[in-house]
Amino acid sequence: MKSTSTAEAISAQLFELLPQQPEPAAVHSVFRTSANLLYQGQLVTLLDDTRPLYPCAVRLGGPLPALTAGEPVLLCRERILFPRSGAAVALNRAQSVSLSLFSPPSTLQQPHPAAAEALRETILTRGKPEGFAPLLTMLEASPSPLPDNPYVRYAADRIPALFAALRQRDAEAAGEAAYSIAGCGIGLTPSADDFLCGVMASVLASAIARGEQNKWLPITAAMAKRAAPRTNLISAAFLRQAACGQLSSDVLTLIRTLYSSVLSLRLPSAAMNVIAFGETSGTDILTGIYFGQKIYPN
Amino acid sequence: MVSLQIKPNTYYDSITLMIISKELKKVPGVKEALVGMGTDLNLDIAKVTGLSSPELEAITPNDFFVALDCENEEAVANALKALEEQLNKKEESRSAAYYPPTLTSALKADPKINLALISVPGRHAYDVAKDALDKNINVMLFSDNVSMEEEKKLKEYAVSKELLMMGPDCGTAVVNGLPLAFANVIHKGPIGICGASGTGTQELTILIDQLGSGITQALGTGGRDLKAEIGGLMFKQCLNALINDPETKVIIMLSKPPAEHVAKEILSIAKECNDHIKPVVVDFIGGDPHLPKEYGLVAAYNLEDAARKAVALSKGEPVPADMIDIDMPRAELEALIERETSKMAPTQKYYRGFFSGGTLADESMKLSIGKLGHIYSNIPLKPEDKIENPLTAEYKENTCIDFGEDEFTEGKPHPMIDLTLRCERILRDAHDPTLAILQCDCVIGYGSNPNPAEELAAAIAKAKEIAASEGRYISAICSIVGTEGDPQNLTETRKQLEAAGAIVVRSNAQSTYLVHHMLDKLNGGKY
Repeated sequence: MKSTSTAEAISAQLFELLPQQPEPAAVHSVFRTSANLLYQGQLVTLLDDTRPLYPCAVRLGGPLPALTAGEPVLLCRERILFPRSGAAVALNRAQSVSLSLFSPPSTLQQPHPAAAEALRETILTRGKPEGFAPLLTMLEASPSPLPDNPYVRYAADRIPALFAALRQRDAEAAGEAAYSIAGCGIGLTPSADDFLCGVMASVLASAIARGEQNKWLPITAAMAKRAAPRTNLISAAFLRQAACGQLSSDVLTLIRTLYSSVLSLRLPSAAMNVIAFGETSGTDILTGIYFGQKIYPN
Repeated sequence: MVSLQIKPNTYYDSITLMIISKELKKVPGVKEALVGMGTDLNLDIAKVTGLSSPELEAITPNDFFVALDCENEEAVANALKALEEQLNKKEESRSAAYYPPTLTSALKADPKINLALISVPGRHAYDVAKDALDKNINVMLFSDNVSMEEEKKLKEYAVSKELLMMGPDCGTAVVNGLPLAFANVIHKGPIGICGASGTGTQELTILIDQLGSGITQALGTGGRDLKAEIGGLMFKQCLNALINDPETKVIIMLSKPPAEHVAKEILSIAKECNDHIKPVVVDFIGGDPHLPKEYGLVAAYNLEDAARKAVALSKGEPVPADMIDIDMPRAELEALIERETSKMAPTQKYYRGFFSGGTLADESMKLSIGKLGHIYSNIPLKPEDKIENPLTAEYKENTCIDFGEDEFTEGKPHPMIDLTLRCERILRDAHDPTLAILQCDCVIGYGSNPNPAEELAAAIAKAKEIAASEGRYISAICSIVGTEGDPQNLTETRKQLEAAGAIVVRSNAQSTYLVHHMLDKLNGGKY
């Protein structure tokens, strides 16, 4: 049966990527609330209305159409068509949303001195500890450590090298350190990759707050370049996006709440919105954000 | 024994992977289970964990794998069965904490939702609020910049569906004990509030709480509801809700003076209620108290007066005398005034009221009508007292500033959150040789700065230091809008302000009356 869904939002990045005339793609992977299409080597994500918008993604006003991995797709700026089922997603009414840290209004400021502790508290008390959150107690003295796991134990020995490279603004060393942990962890997007996305997001936010973004973009680019080939396509896409400041809307909101001179009471709820996504992914991203803003060189 | 399951080019979401991992580890005889995508590092870890297998070499990062270390074949079989069960399980049965990004998805998650707090840019507010009302959901619209026409349409629609449409620009409500937006932690009790003023409602609720009582509901309407254009549509709706609420024993109506025909309508409804159902206290801030009295209602002279009268009525006690002066024994008051004013220089004759709450600034000025002469302000009572460019102007004589007005908040958080501009102004005015008294509010509770007293106290202490270095003394008078239950805590807030040398009184009205007494002394009994 033919059916047309309506997209309510589209990332500005994806809008730019889509062709004027229909071009072929294929369904790459299908999940409960999202699906990925493979178009010219890039993943284009369809999200249902329960999900925050992602870079290179479209969010529908309702559920996803029934899709099967491997089925052909035709896509352009007007619509996404699934010829096998006749289903379509109309894009012409979707609001284009920029998910870039660099998009105005850029009001990022150095975080309030108490913000890091507030974020740490939220991760420890409300986060999901089965991923990389134990780094908070493994790398920082803590009277009540979180239970660890083989993945975080493996990565914990390598992460100080990453921090050292970032403190020295050494792009090559940061790339190697990212390479040494990429793909490590449970989850569709392994914990280490989510963690790296968080670190990159917060060092870029710190850089923007200080007007130093041009010095840091090559560093995050080096990290993503070395890390992406070590993981799966989906996770690699997130790494490449985070490296140039493209973030999901919930993470972007958190960064904007965190990078403010005022300690906002909204910080815990913004953090909870990130935590709520995935199993450990949100918590792992937050853990990366926490460390990223702490280790940014003064 | 090691068992490896591989699904090439297969993706499961993280929740599924985590649940599978946990479930497999519960199977008797399973010593270790690694579940994930076949990245190099995950495979390395599998090897290090003793889950090495020749097939591992062929896995790619886009493959899903499960590596099991089991005690025997039976455990392997049971684990594989558990794995299949999990993979085939209906997705909906895997629950996870979830924060819906849209109203539609929120309703899917919980169809019983019946109130939406909406805070979106004004140009989108109408559509979002209408969508909620379409779905039979009551609305609290925090957004401002909604046109009067849109506000009226939304309210008429809400009334037609017997729903609440609180706002636009509704900053405070407490519904069924739940504080919404800028609100405080208030005990439950017998008093219901229908308010067209955000900080006014906050001040009322905290005073009721401090007087040992509590509230059923504090319903906001937005500040324009009682204007002629809107006609009190929501005020009447909220009032009727409180009249019909069996838990509410006394009602307080709070607003700036309404349009004449609107006042008549709501006072008539209140009279019916007061005569036959439950008592109604009215505070038309700065309005003529004789008007509600004409309807047989209990008129309040200020917010504290309204709280006191409502609390007494809820206990079946007689209505207390009007509170029209500071509640302090005469000798104590005189000693306090002497202590503060004796240290001042002869040039010090004026006060500056620096408020974060607009209603509190307004109430303070209105309580000063006929007492202090001109009060210059960015929200003046008389046009000739208007301060143009309040951000940059030199303030003069008696001045009262609402730091929550647009000129201070464009591109900046509300002064209840960010005290920077107010504190800077305190320090700037500390150099004014004519300044004698600083009057400030300090609003705590949800939505406010995590510790506003810290910054305010520092500014007050510094202002006193500046004045002292120039041979003067500045008196600081503060009132706190807050309760012991608030995250910032009333007592802790008070301690910080007092440690900075501020005099902390119970309410905005008492703070204003104390200013009157001190200025009277400084000006030789002129006031």
